[in-house]
Amino acid sequence: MNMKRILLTICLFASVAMTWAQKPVSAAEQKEMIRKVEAAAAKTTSLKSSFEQVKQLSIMNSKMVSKGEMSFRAPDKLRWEYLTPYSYIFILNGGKGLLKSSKSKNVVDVKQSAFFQEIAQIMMSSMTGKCLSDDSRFKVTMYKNGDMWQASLTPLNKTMKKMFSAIKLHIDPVKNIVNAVQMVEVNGDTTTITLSNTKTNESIQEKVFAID
Amino acid sequence: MRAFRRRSLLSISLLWWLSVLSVSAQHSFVGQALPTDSVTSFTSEMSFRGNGLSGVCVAKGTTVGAKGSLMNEFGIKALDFIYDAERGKVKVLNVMTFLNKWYIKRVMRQDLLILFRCNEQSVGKKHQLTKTSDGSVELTNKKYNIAYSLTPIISNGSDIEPET
Repeated sequence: MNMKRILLTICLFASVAMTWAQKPVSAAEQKEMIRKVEAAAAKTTSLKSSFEQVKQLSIMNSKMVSKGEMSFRAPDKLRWEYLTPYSYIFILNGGKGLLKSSKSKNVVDVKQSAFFQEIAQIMMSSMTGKCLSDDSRFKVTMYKNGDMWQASLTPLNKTMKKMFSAIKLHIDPVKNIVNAVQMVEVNGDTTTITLSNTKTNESIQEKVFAID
Repeated sequence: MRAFRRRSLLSISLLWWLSVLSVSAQHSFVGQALPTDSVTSFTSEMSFRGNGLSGVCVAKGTTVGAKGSLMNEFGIKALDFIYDAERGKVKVLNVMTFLNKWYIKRVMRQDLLILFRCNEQSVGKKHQLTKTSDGSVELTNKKYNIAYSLTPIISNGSDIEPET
């Protein structure tokens, strides 16, 4: 057997294996997985976590890594803060949003912008996994990949469709909480946010979410 | 013509604002050529009629100029660009749907070109360019009243990695 044939055989086996690995779970199993995540989300009153964001920059064949901290308090308070390599704070508190960089600060009315509303919604619902049961916004397909669960969300909403072709959630099957979110842009570039040191249901001071 | 210009400006403003998480432009190979294959990043601010937007720009030197991406802090990309220093041209591609309008792209191409060249002498009457001692560059597009501010991100170099 020549080398070409060996390589072809290896590729064939690899692609079959990958197809098998990405096979969606059955409808009944998907329902049960979503139920477990929903149950965990319903019990979550707060989340606190560090995050690492990796942005793939295909035009430069590079990736940009940003790090920060996230705090969430149900139902609608979120603080998303980048610490390196730049400083940036994004806070959602009820109907208001704060965008604060090193040079500027903007307070926006979330309800005034459909785009902002979508972003706010996706950030909060994906962190808790609540978006899995949002049939009006996403078509959800669940996968089991080794010891991880993966949910692939295809946007149904017009605004979201313009930005993302898919949003993938990586879920810890033991704790039933999301530990990574991957956003796949329409042009194929991805942004992956991985959470670490996640603490649930701890008290978070109100000033963390202050929009001043 | 005036009404059209006003409408275009309003559209630019609205679209930028709608894409709240969007970007502006900048560069630090501003003033000096970016060595081939070296990567640099900047924070950017853009203001237009009292609305301020911030973002990040990452650029990589090429043999003829530079290429890179403009995105918001969350990584949502607004556009990619290719700068050809020899031909004095900027090409924008993979433009976010909200910004993918010919009149927006035209303004962006023109302003990006000035920022990339970063030469006060070559700036016309419609623009004002200021370089500061910390390496920041400020550009004002007087015609459309858009102000850009670009500040190099000082990091330990671990924020930009080659893709494996």
